[in-house]
Amino acid sequence: MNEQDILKDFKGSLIIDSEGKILSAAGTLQEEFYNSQGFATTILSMLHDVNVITTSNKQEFKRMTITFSNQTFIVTIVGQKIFVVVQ
Amino acid sequence: MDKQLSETFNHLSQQNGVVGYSVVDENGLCLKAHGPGQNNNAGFYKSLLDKSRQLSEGSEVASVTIETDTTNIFIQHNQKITLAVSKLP
Repeated sequence: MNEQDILKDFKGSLIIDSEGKILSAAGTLQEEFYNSQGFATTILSMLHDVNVITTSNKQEFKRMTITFSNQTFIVTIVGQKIFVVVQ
Repeated sequence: MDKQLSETFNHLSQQNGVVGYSVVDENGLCLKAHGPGQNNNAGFYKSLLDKSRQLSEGSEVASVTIETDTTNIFIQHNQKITLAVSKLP
């Protein structure tokens, strides 16, 4: 099963590289606000904070969930890619 | 009020699975912490929530959950206070 097969079940998805460049966008995350350098950079910056938190406790990061009143983003890292999906 | 606050945090730390918490003020400084590393991570918990505003068109502050191999960390903002609770999965 490739990446697109896994991501197709979500309302939207973004794939970002380790430098914050958007590799692909699908569904609701194709909208200009989300499919933007600013959005990707913020995700990356939050992951840097998470890295400090988890490294200090010698923990292995699995997933970050960002919950708003109207939608939820789930962020995970596989290899050198950052995956963001929206529920 | 201090006594009530202490009792609340005692109650929190005794909840099943809770291994730590951190209470952070609006400047990112730790007001109260319990558990390993919670004091040092206070600023980063607040930073996560501050940055989350940029992910919302209405600049709403999110609740953030970090899942790791050993604990889940729940971070939420309430008026001027950020609370992070670490719990076993």
